[in-house]
Amino acid sequence: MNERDHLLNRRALLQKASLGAAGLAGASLLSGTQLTNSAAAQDTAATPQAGGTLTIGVGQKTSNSNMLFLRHFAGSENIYTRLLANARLVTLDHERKNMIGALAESFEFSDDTKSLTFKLRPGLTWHDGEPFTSADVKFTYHMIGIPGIGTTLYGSLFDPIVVGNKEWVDGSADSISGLTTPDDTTVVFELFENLNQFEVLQTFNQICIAPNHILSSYLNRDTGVDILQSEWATTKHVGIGPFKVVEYVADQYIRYEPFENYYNGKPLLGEVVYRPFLDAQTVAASLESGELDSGRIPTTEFERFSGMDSLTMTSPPSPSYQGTPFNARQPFLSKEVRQALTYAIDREAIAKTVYSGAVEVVHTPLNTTLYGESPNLVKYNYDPEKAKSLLQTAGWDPNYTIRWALIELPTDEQAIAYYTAIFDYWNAVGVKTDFQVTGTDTSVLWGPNWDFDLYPSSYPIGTPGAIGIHLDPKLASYVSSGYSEPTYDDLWNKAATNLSQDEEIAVVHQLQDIISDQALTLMIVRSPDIWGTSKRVHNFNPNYFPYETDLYDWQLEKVWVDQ
Amino acid sequence: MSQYVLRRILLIPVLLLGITMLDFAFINLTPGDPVTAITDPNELRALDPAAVEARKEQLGLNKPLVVRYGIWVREMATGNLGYSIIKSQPVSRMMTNGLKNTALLMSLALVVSALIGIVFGIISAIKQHTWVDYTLTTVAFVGVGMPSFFFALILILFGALKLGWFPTSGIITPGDGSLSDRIRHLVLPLIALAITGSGSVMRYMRSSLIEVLNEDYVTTARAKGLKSSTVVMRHAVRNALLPIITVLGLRIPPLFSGAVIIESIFSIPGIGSTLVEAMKTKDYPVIMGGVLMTGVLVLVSSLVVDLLYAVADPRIRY
Repeated sequence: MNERDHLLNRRALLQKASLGAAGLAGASLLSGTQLTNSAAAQDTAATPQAGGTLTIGVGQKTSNSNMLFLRHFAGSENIYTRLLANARLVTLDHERKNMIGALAESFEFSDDTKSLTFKLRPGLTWHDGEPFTSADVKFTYHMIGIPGIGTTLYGSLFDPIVVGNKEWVDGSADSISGLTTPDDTTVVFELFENLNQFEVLQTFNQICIAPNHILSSYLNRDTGVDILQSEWATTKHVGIGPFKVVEYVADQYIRYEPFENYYNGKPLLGEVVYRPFLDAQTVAASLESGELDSGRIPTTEFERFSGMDSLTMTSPPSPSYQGTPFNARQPFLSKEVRQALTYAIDREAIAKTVYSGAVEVVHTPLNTTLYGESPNLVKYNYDPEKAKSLLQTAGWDPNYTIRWALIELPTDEQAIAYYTAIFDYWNAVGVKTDFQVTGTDTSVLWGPNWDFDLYPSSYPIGTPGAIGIHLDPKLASYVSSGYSEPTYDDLWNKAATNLSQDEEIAVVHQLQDIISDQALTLMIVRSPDIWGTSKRVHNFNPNYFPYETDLYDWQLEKVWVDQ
Repeated sequence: MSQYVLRRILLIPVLLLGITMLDFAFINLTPGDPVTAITDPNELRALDPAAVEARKEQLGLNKPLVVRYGIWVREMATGNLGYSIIKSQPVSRMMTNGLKNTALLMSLALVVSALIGIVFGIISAIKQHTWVDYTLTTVAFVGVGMPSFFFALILILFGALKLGWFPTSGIITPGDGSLSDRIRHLVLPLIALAITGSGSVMRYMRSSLIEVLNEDYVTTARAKGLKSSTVVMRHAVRNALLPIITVLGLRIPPLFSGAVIIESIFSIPGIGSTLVEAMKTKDYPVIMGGVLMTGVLVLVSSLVVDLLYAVADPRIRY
């Protein structure tokens, strides 16, 4: 099929939608609406009270029906349920800067960086009272290597990290040779040499520990996938997190009660109810009516909800951005063209009009909370004249049409406004754009095809390990920029090794410089993540988790509600 | 008659075989598969093409289409509809849960819309060309013309948000689940479906009754001195109901496919949303379960409607 068959008339799409929100010329700007980024705004001088119910609503297209999500599945709702009932060896602290022990009381890399030892907290128990031991950890890390567990193919997550993991996952070994348990409270992982320690710990942060005493019979390569149909995975879950499941009604709600023996202390709340919804708008309606205490709301509701006295709006910095890597392999997408396309967009205006001022413009996909911002970071403030000049220098062919690869045409108002805005900005500097609808056949986004220009989505803001899939040449597999140059390539290799903090920051800053100078990614705005929470709730600071690398400690044991 | 019924019953498995075969073929001919459909793109850095193939092999997706269909038929014959690839739940359980919620809502909506439509259709016919008739006709047209989802949003706005009388969504309140709680949750979606569905029934009832009221035997009944109410209710309405049976009969299949948009708006975990989700993720076992269930219900219900027609009209014999 001719690729042009995939290109659809943008005008036909736009005729379907009313685009008042994208009327940039007469756009009204929000004023005075403040979002808070911390739970402090919900606190009062009141004394924490034990008891009460917190009802959380999350809009998802799939409702949770399988609590055995040792790792991420399609849709982040499972992460919320995991955080409530489960725990990991380590976690990112509440400030999202350092890795700290969770089920592990302490952790230590050996001097030669070739082993990581976890000392488990003694005396912990599962929700059913059975003791938590190193056997549970050993079981879990073997279980995730069983084909078909959790998401489709994630057992190999630890292949480049733990010695012997690959052989276990591919079936050539009977166990993970690099995982040992000298005693009930010690777990030792033998690592490959010189790995970036923060990245290693982030990987461990993604795995919730499962109970060996309940599930050991499932540790079988041929039949292990049956665990997904077990009662434990569906209706009678036993975890070790702050809350234990007491009632599960498929596709309606999960009720939790506090766990007395949680490692951080028994939570103050008397009950948590988690409700999945099919639609974000329904979450908003339920929040407004008081059926929910906290829920993530669409940005289209932000203005209206900001005016409600009973709610506090919070927006934790989402670890992702709306945009796309450029496919730098395309000869017409040279550095000058990429820079021009970025200069041509007024991202501040898009943030204010399309996203109701609820998001911010971002300039680098590398986490500035962790690494700071390089002084040489190139920021592309809106400059259409510069864009035109760069296009002229690059010899841009005005007859060419930039393609946005999409699985399906956007249908919601915000997405249409988003694309319309960008299309209009680029049209104003002489660049035509259109959609390249791939359907479910996304082979154009992969090598060796790479037949795409842009693929708009939500992309990670994080560590080099978190964003490498799209920017690190050696990891190029899916929607990668394809940019490669010796200095740049070397920086990626260095970032994956064990560096001191200063060395790591220096490497990351250099990566920031190159990525921004080369305009390898078109970063429009940080992804919206707005939560409305009833003022009767205190210390609750949720956020949306598109990427597990941002799993941080919610400190749920400290959350309390007015009664 | 009994031979007719037997013939129709024997035809059901044959028809089901054809329906499921066609659907199975079409589903599998569309691009994509459940393995890649459910894989988070951001995990693809760990993706090994060989592992993808191994997973597909494990799920039996690499077998020839005919073989896979044969396996499905064999298992289905023993009552095993398999497990959802996406949710790992038994398909039969998912169908049952979804059907339970959908059938209750849709059945009530059908009954309520039928009652409203029939009663007001009768009134409209009796009061033909009066202000009562014009008002009810207008209401009927609004009901027919207004999308149910729009009406649903209005109901949520006033019934739940402004007045606070009803919940915005769901089927039960966590920790409750009593009969009164369930009824409260049903009211708004029921109204949304019933009101918008009653318009067409009203119009059919009105025109059918007007036609019957002009028949000679009705004139004769009046001439005999029977009360007007007796003439209408005992002689005219019964005959006027025949087309309504057909209209309502046509609404039985949608009972089981569900009102996807209403289910989405009110967060009702019905069969409609279950099947739509399955189609998006290419969850073959669930799709086939849905096709089978819908096929059985449609074929059985159409037989029932045909038989009811024969009961209602003695002239009809098979």
